[in-house]
Amino acid sequence: MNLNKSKFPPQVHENAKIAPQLVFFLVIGAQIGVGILGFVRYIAKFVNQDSWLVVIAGGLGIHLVIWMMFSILNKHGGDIFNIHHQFFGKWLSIPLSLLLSLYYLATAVVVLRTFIEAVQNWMFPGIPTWTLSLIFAGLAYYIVSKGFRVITGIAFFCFVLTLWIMFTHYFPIKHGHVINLMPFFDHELEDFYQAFKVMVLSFIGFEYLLAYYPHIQDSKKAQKWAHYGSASTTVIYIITTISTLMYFSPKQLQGLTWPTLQEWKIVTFPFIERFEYIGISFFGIVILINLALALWASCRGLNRVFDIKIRLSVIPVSLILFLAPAFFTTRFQVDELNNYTGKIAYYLFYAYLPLLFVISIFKKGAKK
Amino acid sequence: MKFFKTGKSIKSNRSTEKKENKQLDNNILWQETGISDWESGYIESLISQERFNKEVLRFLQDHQKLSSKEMYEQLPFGNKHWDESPDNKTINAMILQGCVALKKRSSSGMVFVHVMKEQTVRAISVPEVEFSVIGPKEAFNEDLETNLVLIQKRLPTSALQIELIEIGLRSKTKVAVLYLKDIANEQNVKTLKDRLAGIEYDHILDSSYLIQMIEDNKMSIFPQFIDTERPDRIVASLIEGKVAFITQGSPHGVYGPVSILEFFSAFDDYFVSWHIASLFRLMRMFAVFFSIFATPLYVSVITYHPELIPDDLLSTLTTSRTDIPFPPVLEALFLELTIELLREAGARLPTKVGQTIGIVGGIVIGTASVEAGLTSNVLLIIVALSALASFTTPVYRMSNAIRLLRFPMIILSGFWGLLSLTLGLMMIISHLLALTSLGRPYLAPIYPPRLSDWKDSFIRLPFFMQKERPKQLKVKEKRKMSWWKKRDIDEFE
Amino acid sequence: MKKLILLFMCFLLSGCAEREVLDDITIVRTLGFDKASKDNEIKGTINYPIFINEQTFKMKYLTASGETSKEIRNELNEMTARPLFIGKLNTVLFSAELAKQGIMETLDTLQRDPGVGRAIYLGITKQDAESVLSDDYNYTNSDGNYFSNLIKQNENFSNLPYLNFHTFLYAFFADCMDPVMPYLSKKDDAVKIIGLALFKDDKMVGSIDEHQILIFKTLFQNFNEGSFQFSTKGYKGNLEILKSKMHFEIIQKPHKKVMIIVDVKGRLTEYTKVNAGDPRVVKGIEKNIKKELEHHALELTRKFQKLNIDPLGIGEHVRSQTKGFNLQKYRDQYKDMDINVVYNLKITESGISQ
Repeated sequence: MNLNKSKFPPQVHENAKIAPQLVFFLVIGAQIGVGILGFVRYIAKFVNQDSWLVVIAGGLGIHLVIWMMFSILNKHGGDIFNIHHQFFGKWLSIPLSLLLSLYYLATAVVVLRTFIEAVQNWMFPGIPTWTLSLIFAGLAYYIVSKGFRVITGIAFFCFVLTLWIMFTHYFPIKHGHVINLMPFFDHELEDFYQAFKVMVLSFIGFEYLLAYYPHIQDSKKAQKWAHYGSASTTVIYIITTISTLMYFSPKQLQGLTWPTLQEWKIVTFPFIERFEYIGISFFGIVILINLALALWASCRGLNRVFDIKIRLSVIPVSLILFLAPAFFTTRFQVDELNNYTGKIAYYLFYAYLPLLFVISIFKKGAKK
Repeated sequence: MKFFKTGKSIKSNRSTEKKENKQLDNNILWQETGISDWESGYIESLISQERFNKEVLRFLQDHQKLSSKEMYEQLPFGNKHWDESPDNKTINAMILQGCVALKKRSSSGMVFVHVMKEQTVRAISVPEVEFSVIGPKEAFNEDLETNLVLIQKRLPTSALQIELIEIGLRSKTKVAVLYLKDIANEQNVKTLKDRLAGIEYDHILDSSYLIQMIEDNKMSIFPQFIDTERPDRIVASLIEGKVAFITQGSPHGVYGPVSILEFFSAFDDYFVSWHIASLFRLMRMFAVFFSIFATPLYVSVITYHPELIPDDLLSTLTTSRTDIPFPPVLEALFLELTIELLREAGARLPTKVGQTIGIVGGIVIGTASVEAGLTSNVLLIIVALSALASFTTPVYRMSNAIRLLRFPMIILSGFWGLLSLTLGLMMIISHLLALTSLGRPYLAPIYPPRLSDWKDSFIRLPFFMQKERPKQLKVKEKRKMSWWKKRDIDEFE
Repeated sequence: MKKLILLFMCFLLSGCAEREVLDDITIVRTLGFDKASKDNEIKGTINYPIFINEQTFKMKYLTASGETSKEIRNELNEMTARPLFIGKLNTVLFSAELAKQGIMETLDTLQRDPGVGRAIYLGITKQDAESVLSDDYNYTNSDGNYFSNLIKQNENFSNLPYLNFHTFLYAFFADCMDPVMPYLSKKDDAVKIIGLALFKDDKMVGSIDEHQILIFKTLFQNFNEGSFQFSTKGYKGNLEILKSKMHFEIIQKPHKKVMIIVDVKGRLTEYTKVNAGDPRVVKGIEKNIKKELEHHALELTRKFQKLNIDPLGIGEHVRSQTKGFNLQKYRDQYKDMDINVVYNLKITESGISQ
C-alpha cells in the first residue's frame, strides 16, 4: 500500500478520458435524482408560492460553487485528493480525502434508499429492501467495473431516455391554478434562507467533478459545460416546482410525500393510463447513474489515497451500498438520512469549498 | 496470382509440424520424367496433367542440355519458383499448393511450376440473403481469387491493398486483408492483422470462424463484425475507411469496425431514394425495439400493472386470458419457444417443405392452441408480430442476437414488471457501451455523440449531404466529395 | 457478460414481487357508499364486470357494511372468488344522506391507496348509491364505464365543470375553497346530472340546480364549450358558448369588494322569433342575456355567502392578490363581502342560417 499516492497528480490514460462536452451529461445526470420526486414539498413548507425563487437562488449558488471548484482545480491541477495533499500535507490529507470518499458513498446510499422507499410505497408494497438494493448495487458495480467512459455513457443515455418525462408536466400545468404562484415574494428572508438550505440536497451531484476532473480531456474547457449542466438542472427544477405549486393547494402539498408521483396520476394517453408506474420505472435509470457515479468517485478516492485498485475496492464498496439501505426501515429514518446528507452537503459547498478556494488563492499553482 | 507466402510465421510446437519437416508427404508421386535426368514430383489429384505435359515436358524435351538453374530462367512459364536447396518442408508446401517440383538428379536446385488443375468453381450467383430489387446482383462465391476480382473490378485504384495471410495450422486457409492505403486508419488495419495473425487453430472453414475468434468481446451476444455476400457492400465499406477480409472457401466478406446502427441498414438503402431509405431504417429500428420489448411489456402489464390498461382494452385482454392455466410469463415463453421451433424446423428442411411447416405451424398450431385455451390470442398476435419484426434486421447475425435477447427480457419482466424491464434495458445499454469493434466504440455515433455522423445512421440523407466519412473511424482522408459552389436562383452555368 | 449473467441470477435470488394478474383479480369499476341501518356504520357497494366470453360480460354488484371502508373491503373480499383490485376504479358515488354526515374518512382511505387514480370521478346520488349501482340501465352500464363516461362527456362537451378526485382534494385542503361534486339522480333507465352538490369541509350542505351549473362553470373556470338556455321577456332561446374566460379583481382592499369579470363569446342557436341578422337586434339580445346571466350569478354568490362556503375559490383569488393575507380576518368578513359579477358577452354568429 502506498499512502503517498495522492502526493502526485493523477495519471489518466488518454483512452480513459472523456470529451469536455460530456461533463454536461455527468453533471445533470448526477444532480437529478430521487430528489425531484419530492423536493418541492420541503421548500414549499417555508416559502410556499415563492419556492421557484428559491430554486433559482439555489441554482445560482451552485454556479458560484462550480466556479470556485474549477478555479481551484484549474490552478492546482490534479484532483481534490492531490489538492488535499498539497494544502494540508500528508497526514491531514488522508482523513479529509477519506471523509470525502465516505460522503460520496453516503450520497449513493441516500439516493438508493429513497428510491427503494418510493418503489415500496407506490409499486410493490411487499418487496423487501435488500432485493432492490441488491440489484441496483449489482448493476452499479457492473457499470463501474466497465470504467469511467461507460459511466459517462450511462449518464448520456439517462439524459436521452428520461428527458421526455419533463413533458408530462404539461398535464398538471394544464389543470393547474396560476393564482397559486401569487403574490410574489411574500415571505421573510429567514424563511428563504431555510428553504435555500433544504434546496441544497437536490443539487448534490456536481461535486463528483472533484474526483473525475482529471478524466476530462482539456479539462479547463469543461467548466462551461458544467455550468450548462447545472443551469439545465435548475430549469428542470423550476418547471417541476411551478407545475407542482400550480397543481396542488398548499396544505394538500404538505400532506404528500411524493408530489411529482401524484402529478403523474392524471397523466393519461389514449394507449396507456396511470403514468406513475412508468414514471417510477424510468426513474430507475436516473437512480442508476447517481449510484454508478457516486460509487466510482468513492472508489477513486480510495484508489488515490491508498493506491487500492478500483477493480478491487469496488467490490466491498458496492457491498456496503447493497447492505446499508436495509438499516433504514421507517419513513422517519429515511427522512433523517436525507436531512443529514443535505446538511453535510450544505457545509461542503458553502463552507469547505470556499475555504479551499481561499487557500488556493494564496497557494502557488501547480508547476507546468 | 503468385504463390502465397505465409504473412507471419506461426509459432507452434506441435508434433505434427515437426514430423512434417522430416519427410516428404506420402501422397507425392516422385518419379523419373524420362527426359535427361529430370525427376518430377507432384500430387496427381492436384495438378493438370495435360498442362504439365504440354507446357513443361515439351519444353524440357526441346532443351535437354540446360542445367536446372538455366532451365528455370528460360522456362516460358509465368508461375514458377526457384529454390537452390529446398528442405522437405518447403517442397511439401509447394507441392500441396498445386506445383510440380522438377529436379535434376545431379543438382540440389529445384524448379517449381504451378500447374494446378482448374478448379470447378461455383458460378457467381445472385445474393440470396441480401437480395435487392435494384442494384447489382453479384454475390461472392467460395473462391478467393474470384472474390478478389469482384472487388478489384469495382476499385481500380493502386491504393487498394490486398495482404494475404495464411491461417489454420492444418487447413492453411488463405485470408486476404483489404483496405485503402490512403483512407483507412492504420491502427484499425494493424489491429485486424495482428488479431488474424494471432489465431492458432487447426482449421478455418469459413469466415465466421475468424469473426468469432477475433471479436473484441467474445462473450457478447452482439456481433462485432458484419459479414456480407455482396461485393459492393465490401467496396462501400472500404471506401468509408474500414478494413475487410475475405477467406478462401467462404462466400462472405467481412468488414469492421462497425457500429450497432450499421446492422440495421440494408444495402438497398443506398439504391432507393433517401426518403424511402430513411423511412425503412427507422421502421427497422422500431421493429428491433418492438421485437425485444413488446412481449415483456405485455407480460409485465398483465402481471403487475393492470392499472395501465386503457378501459377499452380491458375486456379484450381479460377475456383472452381467462381459463389459461399458465402465468403470463410461462405462457409468453412457451409461445416464443414455439415460434423459434417453427423457425428452426423451417430452416433445417428443404425450402418447399419448410414453407409448408411454416403454414401448418403458424395457422394450425396457433389457432388450435387458442381454441384449446392454452394461450391467449392477444399474446399470440404480439409474439407473432415480434418474431416478424426480428426478421426485418438485414444482418442475419444481428437478428439472431435480437431473438435471443427476448428471452432474458421476458424472464426479467416476470420478476418486477416494468421496473425490472427498465433495469434490463440498462443492462443491455451498459453492455453495449462497454463493447467495441476493432477497438472503436460500438454505439457510435449515438455515444460518443457525433451528430455529423448521424447523416447515415438512423436515417440516410441524400448523397450530396454526406460529404464526409464517418468521424468515428478516424480516417486519413475525411472528404468523400469536393465542395461545389451553390448556384443562385436564375443563375446557370 | 459474465457479470451480467451473475446479475441475472441475482434476480432469481430476489424472487417475484406481489402479482396482480389481470384474470385473477376482481376489477372494481365503481364504488358506492351509503348510510347503513346501524348507527356509525356505512354500507359499501362495489360494481365489477364478470366476463362470460369474448364479446359479452355482465356487471355484478356486491354490498357489505362496516364502520370503516377497510372493514367493508375485508368483508367484500370474503365474498369474492378473486382478490379485489381497486386500480381500475373510475367512479366513487356517495348517497346524499351519507354525504351530509361527512365523507372524508372514506375518501382519505382511498387517497392513501397508491392504486387509486386521481382522475377518477366522484359523485353524489340522490337515491341510495346501492340502488344506483345495482341497475344495469338496459345494458348501458355493461362495461362499467357508464358513470365515468357520463361525467366525462358532460365535462368536455357540456356544462359540467371539470371535477374529479383531485379537484375535490384540492378544494378540500385549500384554505379558502370548498369542494363541489356532480349531483346525480336515477331516472328510469338512466342516470341524470341534476346539479352540483355543495360541501362545507367534507359535509354536503346544499346543492344547485341543473340550469345553474353553467353559471357556476363560467365563474369557476375557463372553458370552450357549453350552452345556456335563456328566457327573457317574451322569447326563449339557446346561447351556445364558444369561449368563456374569467378573472377576479379586488375593488376595495382588503377584501371588502371583489368583482368577477367573465368574457363570454357565443352564438345563438334555436332562436326564431326575431331577425338575428340585424346587428341592432343582436345587440339587444346580448344585453338581455347579459342581464340574465348576471342575475343568476349574483343569486349563486349570495347563496354561497349565506351558506358560508366558497366553492368558487374567491378566497384563493383574494389571497393571491393580497400581500400579507390574513386568513382569519378574511373568513370573518366573507359573509359580508360585496361580490360583483360582470359579464362581457359577445355574440359572434347566429347559426348557419340568417
